[in-house]
Amino acid sequence: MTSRREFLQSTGAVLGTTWLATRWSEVLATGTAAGRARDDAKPFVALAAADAADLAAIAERIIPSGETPGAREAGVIWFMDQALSGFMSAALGLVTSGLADLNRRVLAEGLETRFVGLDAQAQDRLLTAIEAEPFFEAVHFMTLAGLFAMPAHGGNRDHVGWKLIGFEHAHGWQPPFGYYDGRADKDNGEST
Amino acid sequence: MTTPRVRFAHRKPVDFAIVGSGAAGGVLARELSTAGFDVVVLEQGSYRRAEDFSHDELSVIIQHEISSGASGTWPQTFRRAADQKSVIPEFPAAYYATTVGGSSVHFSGNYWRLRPVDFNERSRLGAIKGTGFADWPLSYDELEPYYTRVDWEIGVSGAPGPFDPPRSRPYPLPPMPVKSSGVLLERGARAVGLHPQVAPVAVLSRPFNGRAPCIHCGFCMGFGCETGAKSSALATMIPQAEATGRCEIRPESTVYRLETDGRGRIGEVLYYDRDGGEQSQRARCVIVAANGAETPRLLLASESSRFPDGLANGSGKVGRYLMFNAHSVTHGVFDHALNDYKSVQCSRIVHDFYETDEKRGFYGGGGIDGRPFLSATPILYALNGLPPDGPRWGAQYKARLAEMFTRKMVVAGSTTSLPLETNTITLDPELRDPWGRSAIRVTYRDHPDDLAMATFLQDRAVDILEAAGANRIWREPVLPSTIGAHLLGTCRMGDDPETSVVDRYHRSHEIRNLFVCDGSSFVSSGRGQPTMTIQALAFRAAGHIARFARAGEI
Repeated sequence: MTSRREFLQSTGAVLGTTWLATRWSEVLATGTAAGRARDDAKPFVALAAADAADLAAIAERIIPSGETPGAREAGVIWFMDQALSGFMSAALGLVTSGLADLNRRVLAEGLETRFVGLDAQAQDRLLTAIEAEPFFEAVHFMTLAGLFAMPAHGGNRDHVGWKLIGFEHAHGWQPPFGYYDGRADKDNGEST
Repeated sequence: MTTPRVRFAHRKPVDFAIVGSGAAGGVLARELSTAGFDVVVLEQGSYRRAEDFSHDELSVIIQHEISSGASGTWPQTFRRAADQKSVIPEFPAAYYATTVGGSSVHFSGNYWRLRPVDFNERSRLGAIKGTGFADWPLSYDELEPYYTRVDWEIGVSGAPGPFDPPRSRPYPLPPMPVKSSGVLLERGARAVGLHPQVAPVAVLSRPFNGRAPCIHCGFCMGFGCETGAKSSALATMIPQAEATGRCEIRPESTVYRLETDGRGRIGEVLYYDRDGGEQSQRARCVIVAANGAETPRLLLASESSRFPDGLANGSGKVGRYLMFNAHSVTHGVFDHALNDYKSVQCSRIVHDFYETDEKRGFYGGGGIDGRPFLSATPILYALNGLPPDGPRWGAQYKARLAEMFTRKMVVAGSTTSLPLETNTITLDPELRDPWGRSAIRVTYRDHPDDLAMATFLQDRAVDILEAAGANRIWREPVLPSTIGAHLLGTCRMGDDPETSVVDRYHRSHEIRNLFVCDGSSFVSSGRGQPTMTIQALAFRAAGHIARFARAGEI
C-alpha cells in the first residue's frame, strides 16, 4: 500500500498543471521562510535575481505606487517567490517562460535592456500586448494575493494592501459596522 | 489531536457506523449515542477545533485548507452534459468542507426553513415535462417539530417574518444586529413595495448553552468559526455526542466501500486511515451522511455482483436529480462606508417571491438577501468584486480597488432547482483520488426555468439597489451553474422503490440495514438555504432509526 504522502506527491505531479494548485500544506513552511528571506535579504528561492526584478516591475505596473503604497511597498515579489517555490510551484515554468517571452519582445523593439529597465510607458505598452495571456493572469493573481494575503505569506507588508482598501483586521467588531446602520433613522432590528 | 473519549474495536460490530460528521451526521451521532447506542463516525477530514481555524484567506479559501479542491486531495471533474468531455475545473464543482463537522463548519449560517409548498408543490402545480418534479413523502407539519428542535438544540438567531411557515416555538435567540447592507436592503425593498425581514442565522446573538456569542469578525463564509459562535455540528452536536462516552469520532478515515454479506446486508465499512492503510469497521447498521456528492459516490463505488449498479440503486436514481439552487448576484456601490466585511453575511432577506407565480411564465421561486458575498475578504474581493468594465491593472484600477471595498454590497437571489435526471454525480472513469477512489464527476446544467427565476430575482435586485440609492449597480451575468455548495437530491426519498432511493424514514429500499440521510434525501430543492432542513431531517430520522433498532427491525 502506498502511503498517503506518496499518493499526494504523485497526484500533485499529475494534476499540478493549473496555476491555482492546491498544495496548501506547504504554505506553512513557506510563510516562515518568507519572513526570514525578507528580513535577512537572502536570495530568492524560486526565482533568478533578474527574473525577480522583472516580475517586481510587472507587479508595480499592476498596482503602482503613488500617493498610497503599491506592490513595491507591499513586498509582493517576496510573496511571489515563496508562492512559486511553494503552493504555486507548478506555475514556475509558466512564469519563467513568460518572462523570457516578454524580454524577447523588448529586444524585438530594439531596446537594449530587460523589461525592468524600460520606462513606465514602454512597460505598459508591452503588458497591454500580453494582458490576455495565462502568464499575465498568473502574475496578476500573484500580485493581488501578495497585496492582500496575510503578511505571513511574504507580502502585504505592514498591512499596506489592507490599508489601501480600508479593510481593518481585528479579532472582532461591535455594531455599528458602517454608516447606514450607525444612523439614528436606521431600522431598530424589528421587522414588520 | 486529543484522545477520543471512547474507542471501539474494529472487528466487533458497533450498533451504528455513520459515514460523515457534518450537518446530518453530527445530529445522527448525537441522537443515537444519547439514546444509548454505540456509534462510530468515520470522517475523511481532519479533526480541527475552533482554535485551529484562522482568518488566513490564502490558505483557507484559495488553497482549500478545509474544503474540497478541484485537484489534489479531493479531485473532481465537471461537464454540462453526458455527451461532453469532463474536465478538471479550477474551482470544485461540488464545494464542501472536509473537516470534522463537514460543511456546517464553513457555511454562512443562513437558516431558512422550507415551507409547506416545498413538500407538495408537484401536487399543487402538476407535472413539469422533462423533469423529476415530485412531492416529498412527508409534509411540513410532520417536519415542523424537528425544525423547532434544531432551533433550540443548536441555537438560531432570528425573528418572525410576514411569510414564515407556522412555528411551534419562537426563535431561541434575538436577531443579529442589522448591518448597513441590511438597512439598505430594507430601505430599497420597502420603497418598491416588498416586505423585508430579519435573516435567521445559525449564529449566536447571545450566549447559549455555554457558548459565547458572535464577535462579528466577518469570517463566516468559507471559514471555520474561531469562537464557536457559528452553530456548526462541530460546535454543537459533536461534543455532546462524544460526552455520552458511546460515540467515537474517527477523523482522517476515508471510506471507500460498503461491503455486503451473503444475505445482502452491509457487514462492514472499508476505509483508509490517515497513512493510507486499509481498515474496516463492522457495524449492525450503516448510515451514510457524507453529503449529496460523496454519498452517491460511495454507493456507486460499492457495486458488487449482487448489486452491479451500486448499493440501493435498483431504481437507478442514485446520483441523479442533483440540485444546486441557482443564484444571481447584483452589485451596488453607495456613497458612504457599509463595511459589509464585518459580521455575518446576511442580516435582512426578502421572501416576497418565494411562491411560484404562473404569471411569470415559468416555474420557480426564491429568496433575496443583502450581503458582501465574495467581497467579505480582500483577495476574493480583488478577484471578483469590481465592475467588469474598466482597467484590470494600473493606477485607475488601484484607485477603484481602494474606493469600493468598504462601500459596496451584493443583493443575491437564490432559487429553486428543478430535479433533472441528467444532472448527476457519477464516478469519473479515469481520474482517481490519492487513495485510488474514482473521482467525483459532476454533470450539471440548470433547467431554463431555474435561470429564468434567477434573472427575475436579479431584476428585483436592481430595483431594490436603485431605490436604496446606490450610485453604481452592475449585474453578474446569470449563467448556467458551474459550482454548487448545496448538494441536493442525489438519493431522493419516496414511497415508491421504482422512483426513489430511500423511504420516508431514510432506509434504503433495498438494503435493510442501510440508511441515507443528508442533502441527498431532498426531493425538491427549496429556495436556497438547505442546511436547516438537512438537520431537521436528521433529527427526525434519528428518532425513527432508534425506534427500529430497539424493535429489532434493522
